[in-house]
Amino acid sequence: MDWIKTWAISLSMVIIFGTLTESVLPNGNYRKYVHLVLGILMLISIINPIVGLFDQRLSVKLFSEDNSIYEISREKLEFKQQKDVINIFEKTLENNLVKGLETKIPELKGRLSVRVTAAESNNDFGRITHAAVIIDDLPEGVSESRVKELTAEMLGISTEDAAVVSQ
Amino acid sequence: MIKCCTSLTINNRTFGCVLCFMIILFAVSFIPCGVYAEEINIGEQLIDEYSNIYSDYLMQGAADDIIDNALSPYSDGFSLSEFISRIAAGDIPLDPKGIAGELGMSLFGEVLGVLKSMMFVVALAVLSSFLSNMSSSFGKESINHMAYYVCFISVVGIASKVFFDVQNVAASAIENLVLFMRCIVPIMITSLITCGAVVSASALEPFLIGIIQIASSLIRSVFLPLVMVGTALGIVNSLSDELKTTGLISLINKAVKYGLSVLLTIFVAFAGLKSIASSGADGLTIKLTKFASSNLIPVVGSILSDSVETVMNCSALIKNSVGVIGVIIVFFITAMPLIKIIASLLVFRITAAICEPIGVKGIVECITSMANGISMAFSMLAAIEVMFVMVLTIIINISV
Repeated sequence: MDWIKTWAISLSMVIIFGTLTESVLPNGNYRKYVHLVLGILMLISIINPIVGLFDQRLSVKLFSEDNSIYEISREKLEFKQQKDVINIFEKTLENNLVKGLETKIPELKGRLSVRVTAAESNNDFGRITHAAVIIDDLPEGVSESRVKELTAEMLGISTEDAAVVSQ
Repeated sequence: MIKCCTSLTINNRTFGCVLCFMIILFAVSFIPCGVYAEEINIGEQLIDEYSNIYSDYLMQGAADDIIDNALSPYSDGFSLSEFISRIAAGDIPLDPKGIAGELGMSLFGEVLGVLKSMMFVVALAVLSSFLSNMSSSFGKESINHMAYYVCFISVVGIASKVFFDVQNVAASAIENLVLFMRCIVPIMITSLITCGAVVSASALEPFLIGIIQIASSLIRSVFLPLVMVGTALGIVNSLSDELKTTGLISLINKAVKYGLSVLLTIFVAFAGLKSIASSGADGLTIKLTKFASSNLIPVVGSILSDSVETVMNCSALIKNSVGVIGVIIVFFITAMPLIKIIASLLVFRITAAICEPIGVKGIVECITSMANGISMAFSMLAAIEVMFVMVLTIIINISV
């Protein structure tokens, strides 16, 4: 938009020149003719850019600037979201499994710690791959196989994916 | 016997005490004592983690200095991630009274600063008036004119310095705003995607980025230069009584005003329509995803869909907090420049009002045209601030 600046400067110069000319002109018959000439000069200065527009095509590039947009990596955030979903899923399953086992086998209350692992890959997202139940001092009358069956039933997995360890 | 009995008694007593103590100890060991493990609030943990990620994203761009300069004067011990976490918890850590007081003092300071320069203008206007009234003692009319032109040029020199300061402040505020928006809009679009509004994000992204670029280019490349040209012509117009460009100046000013109004109208219409059209599709997509995850995965599918919902709700909270932070930062980026512009506008109008009764028509016209130019700069800065606040508000209001 330098042409606007150039145009404004030329118009201002014409006006200043005309004002100074008027101030030094003697009062007489020539005054009105000088006025007419100065007015025509001003008119030409004003319409000069409009005439110039017909000679060239206006390009949108006149308004173009540096269009760089700050880009951020979305993959990192999506990956973190998937991990968070799996973490919350595993923690909820562990809590539910502990409560479920303690309800069905009251002797196990306070002796359980559970670890559930779920798949994070896109094809198997959320599928439970492994569940481990650690029993602290297995009480009498409670068998590991029973706990294993209950775990598999509650999580909807096969007994091969469930492991019970008593310490 | 008695001795023997006494010693036996003592021994029995001691034995009894020890036995009692052991029984008590044994009994106490069976009292259940609850051991409470610290439960970590998953929601708060997620919010803290995402606040750190988004604050890193915001500060990584070119806008980190802008954010720092905008927020740190109004917030002690400023930390962007803490800001985001606290806003997510519903607490905006700003003191409105303190901020209002700060801004009020700044306005007063700016008015005093501009007043010092414009007092010379008033003094020169009074001098010019005296000189024009003494024209008969000079003899020639041309000497009177020369004296007037000298005063006029001095007034223009002093007033135009303030005017150009104001225009530079407006231009740099617009540039900072645009830089900040170029940084935050992609972050907000990403946060939209993470909270499940994928359709809205894909519909709004090109539009929002386009409107920011178009608005900033138009204002910086067309409107601001036109305002400068209009003011320059206004100054020159007041120099002579014969050679006038009043119509041209009026045309330029109206073109800028109508251009701004049309830009705002188009923006509001398109942004509103786009956001309404795409929100319905997002709700449907989310419901389908929840239905699919809860029914396709046996037994525990509902827990998985609840986990997804928890993470998305946290992302939505963070999206809204980042949006609110964005609005606050936009406000603070433009606060000081607007105060400076308002102060200059006020002083220019007061100066024109004071000079008018003195009778120096040309100087009054010159100062009035500069004041009009300053008010146009104020309109442009306010318009672009409103547009950008609306952009952020539209993104905040999108929910699934």
